[in-house]
Amino acid sequence: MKHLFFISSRYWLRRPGRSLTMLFGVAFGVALLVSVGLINQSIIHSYDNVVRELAGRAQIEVRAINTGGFTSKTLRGVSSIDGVHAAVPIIEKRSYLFYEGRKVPLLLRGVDPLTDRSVHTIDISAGRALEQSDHQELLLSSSLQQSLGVSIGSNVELLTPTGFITYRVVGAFTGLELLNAPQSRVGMVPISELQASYFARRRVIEQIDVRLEPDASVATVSAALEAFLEGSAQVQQPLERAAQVASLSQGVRFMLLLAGFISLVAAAYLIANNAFASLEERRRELATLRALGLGTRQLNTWLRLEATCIGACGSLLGTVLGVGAAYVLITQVSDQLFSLYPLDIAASTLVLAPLVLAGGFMLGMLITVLATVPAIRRFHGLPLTETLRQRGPKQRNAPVCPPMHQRLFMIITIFLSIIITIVLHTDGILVMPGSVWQLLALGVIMCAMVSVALYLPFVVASVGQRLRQWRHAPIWLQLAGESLRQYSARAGAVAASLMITLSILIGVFGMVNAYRTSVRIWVNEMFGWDLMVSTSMQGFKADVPLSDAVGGALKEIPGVAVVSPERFAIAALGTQAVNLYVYDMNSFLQMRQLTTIDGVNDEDLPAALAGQAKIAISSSLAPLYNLKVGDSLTLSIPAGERRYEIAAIVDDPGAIARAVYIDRSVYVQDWQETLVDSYALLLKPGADPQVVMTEIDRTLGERFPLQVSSASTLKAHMNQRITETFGLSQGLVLMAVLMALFGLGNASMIAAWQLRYQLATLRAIGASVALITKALLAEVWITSVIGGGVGLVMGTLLSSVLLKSMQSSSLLVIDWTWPLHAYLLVAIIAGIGSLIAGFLPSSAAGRAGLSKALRYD
Amino acid sequence: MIDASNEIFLEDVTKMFTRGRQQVHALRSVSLRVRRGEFVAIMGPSGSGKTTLLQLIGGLDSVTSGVIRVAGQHLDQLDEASLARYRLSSVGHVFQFFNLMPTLTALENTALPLLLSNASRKQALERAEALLVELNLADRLDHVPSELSGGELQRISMARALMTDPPVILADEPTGTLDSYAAEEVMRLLSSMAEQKQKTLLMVTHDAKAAAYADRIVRLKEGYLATEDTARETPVFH
Repeated sequence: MKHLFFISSRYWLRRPGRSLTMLFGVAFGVALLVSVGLINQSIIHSYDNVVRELAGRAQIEVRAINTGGFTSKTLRGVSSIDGVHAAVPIIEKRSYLFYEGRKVPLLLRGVDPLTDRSVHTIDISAGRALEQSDHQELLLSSSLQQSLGVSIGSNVELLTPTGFITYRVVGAFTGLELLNAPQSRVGMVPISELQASYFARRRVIEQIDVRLEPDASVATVSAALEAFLEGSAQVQQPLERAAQVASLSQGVRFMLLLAGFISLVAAAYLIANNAFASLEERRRELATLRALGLGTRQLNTWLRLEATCIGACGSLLGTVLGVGAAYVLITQVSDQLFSLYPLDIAASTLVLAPLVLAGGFMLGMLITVLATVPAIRRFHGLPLTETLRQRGPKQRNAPVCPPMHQRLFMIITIFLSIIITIVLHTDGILVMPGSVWQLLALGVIMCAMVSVALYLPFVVASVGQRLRQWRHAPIWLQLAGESLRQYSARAGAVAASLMITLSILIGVFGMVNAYRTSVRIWVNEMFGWDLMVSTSMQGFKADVPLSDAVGGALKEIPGVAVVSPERFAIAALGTQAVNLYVYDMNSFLQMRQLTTIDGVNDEDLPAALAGQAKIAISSSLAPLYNLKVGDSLTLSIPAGERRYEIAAIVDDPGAIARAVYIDRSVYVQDWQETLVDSYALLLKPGADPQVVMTEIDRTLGERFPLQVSSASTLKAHMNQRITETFGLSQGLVLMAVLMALFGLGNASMIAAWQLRYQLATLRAIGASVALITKALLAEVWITSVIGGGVGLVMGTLLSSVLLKSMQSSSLLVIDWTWPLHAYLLVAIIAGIGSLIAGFLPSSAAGRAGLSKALRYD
Repeated sequence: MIDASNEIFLEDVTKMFTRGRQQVHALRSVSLRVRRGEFVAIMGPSGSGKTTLLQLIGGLDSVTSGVIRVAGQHLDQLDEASLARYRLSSVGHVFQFFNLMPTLTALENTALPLLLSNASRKQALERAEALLVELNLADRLDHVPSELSGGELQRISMARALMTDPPVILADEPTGTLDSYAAEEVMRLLSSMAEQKQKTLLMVTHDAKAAAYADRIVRLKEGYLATEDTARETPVFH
């Protein structure tokens, strides 16, 4: 066998272009997959570490579902449960730290200085720990303290709902180093401070971390806690929370991995084409070796080992490139990269997950070996006497009808794909579709794609035959038909490759587009106001809410007609969280519209909801719980539970998914919370928005770093954020598609090489280059229409399933829309691809010297 | 009847192909015996079944019916692996279009069969060199096929056929692509080496002058064995 490898090495050295195309085809495919896999693993690892570090020695976490949290009575109750060694209260809030003109976002963690040590462990690297007597004292994570250059004992300002509060930095800690990535800086203050600024000094607790007695069972204590809390809180082990957090990014991770897989599919196509070309080129050499006595098994083993070697080299190169790319992305474009993920946690270090590295390497090898199997099988399928012939094996017309089992496989998978997609999108049939259903749907669609891909050569052959038999067809079209019939396997492979690539492209782009459209509709619907005042330019839930005193001040600003306070809270409906839209209905409905589908009409809604235990619910929530007007909904409030009557079901295209609308007066009374995420302002006729903005800054600027945005600025900002968020994922998909186009170009070059004799013969007997170009373009165009058309349908199905996956981690109701942008993109790509694929061989045929092209050997 | 002195023994051999919906008889009940060391030329018009006959004897294709025994082996009873071993050690092929590896040198091309039989590289190259020297190609050892003339290529092909010292040499129109001078040289060397090394040589040719080197000429017509002549007249190439 070793003697055969010098034949291989000579061949591959003689064909450097083909060798490098195969090698880099595998390498780029693997690189993209490995880099995406490593980034995903790094972010999961980061989530895991964040949760683990924050949990410290906590074995169980009790988290309030409600925005209002727990009372200290709940803490006492938790502490008294058998098996609980210690239970400590926690509040976590987003804030901004201001120091020497710099504004830094951070996570503010409120702890009880006296008891926190019994559950959490941190190391004090400078200064001291928090003490019971501390009030406006602050600990900073060591790296944050160092990066800001804050010395122990100096003062910093933190933004709270009541405005800036000055804190003295008393120490720095380590032990939560992984949180010190740009978006996850940590500050620690006494819990009473956050209770004062966020909860008007009420002793609210949002989370209780529990450490168990040495002999206590986690399961037993968890069960006791669940019974005690009666579903008003989530009782979890820290690692469960990590998994839950990680599951939020499932859609994004899957989308990125899909981009990686497209590139591998493209690589496989590239390899398969090159394998066919190289085996055809070496056909007589290999046949001669067989005639000289090389056994079939030896030949098989040799060719497979050859493919394995190329696969191994390419995969190794790809793995190294993938690690490099992931490192560069994590270190250089971290902000754009991690804005893709639903949580603001960045991975500061690249996790070289052995499974990803080994998996990428093995998958690359496997793809290479599998992609060469059809070529090797085809070679072995030919009689030895034919492969030895100077002119090569006799051309046989491919069958136009696939075997029955193949047809059945295709019909069943397509039928299942359509059914499962309808089920996924029909509320009521499948309530809250789980990831298992989504994976099942994706699996079935992938199977359908494979079955259609296998069917395409027959379709191509059939179309070719019809064109050839069409009497009135011009000669170039008949030539195209003949070529399609004769080389249906090659044309079918091109169509299949186009179909798979384009369907994944439409799938991802269509999903992103639907998401973008939904956000745009939401943005447009909610923008009936003139100015929006908030601490951050978010559009809805603010990082740091504001107190209602700000509203009072805004009303006094000249030119302001109406001030509408808006609060986006979470309420517990049983054990499920639902979004609570808190509006002052009177002022809110002066700026926006809620279209009533059932119940109290729009105009009467403020009167119906104000001061009463009544709510309106969004049309997306109603079918999930089979709710009707007049039914009651029991929501958890800090004081226990309260039943609210449903006064109306409203259709709000701008609504957060599964929303409950409540009047602010009722919310403040029941939740005992007066915070506001943003104030929407309606100006008096003739008032200059710029003047009002300046006045707001002059009046409130010293107390709050307010963001005052006009509707157009905020729209532009939000659209830019959406573009940025999905820009990278679309970039990755485009990279994979470009690779597929490269594969198409490569395939057409190979076709040019394979057809050189036939094209030269046509020219020799009088066909013009223009006629040949027309025939080739017609052939490629027909192939593209077949592959692209099927890809369009499959991609549309895929986009709707991907959208469902994305929906699970999104706050918005995302309506599926026809991916028209993606169709346009596909038309452009397919058009360019087919032009390249048609012109390359025709230009090669036009350039080739006839005598050279007609030479047999 | 099988006679041990017959190196090649064909009894009632039929080969049929399917072309579209038609069954085509390439060979019809051909029976042939070739003695050890004999040089037989097979002649006949195009499509008469000459190459098919050679391919069947060479183990490149299988019979539809009949018996083929070459060098003591019943080809119709051999599986694919045994056929590969047979092709490696029992027959040497000389092809019309040489079928040399374009990336290998003359020396490496010649050494190939011995390398395939797992001999050491040194041993294979030494034997290949000796054969090439014998065939007047000492100054062409390191040349690749594209640097050689047709006559030289065919001599390398002959050297390769002799590499494993097989008892039977099968030549398919070895002079078909050569000019008269090169054809004469190839035929002279082929017949003399076969005689010298006591090889049984079966050659398909259209060329009467090449056939004149043979001990016997077998003629095929439409798949039937037509006549057998005695050759060995003095050939003249122009």
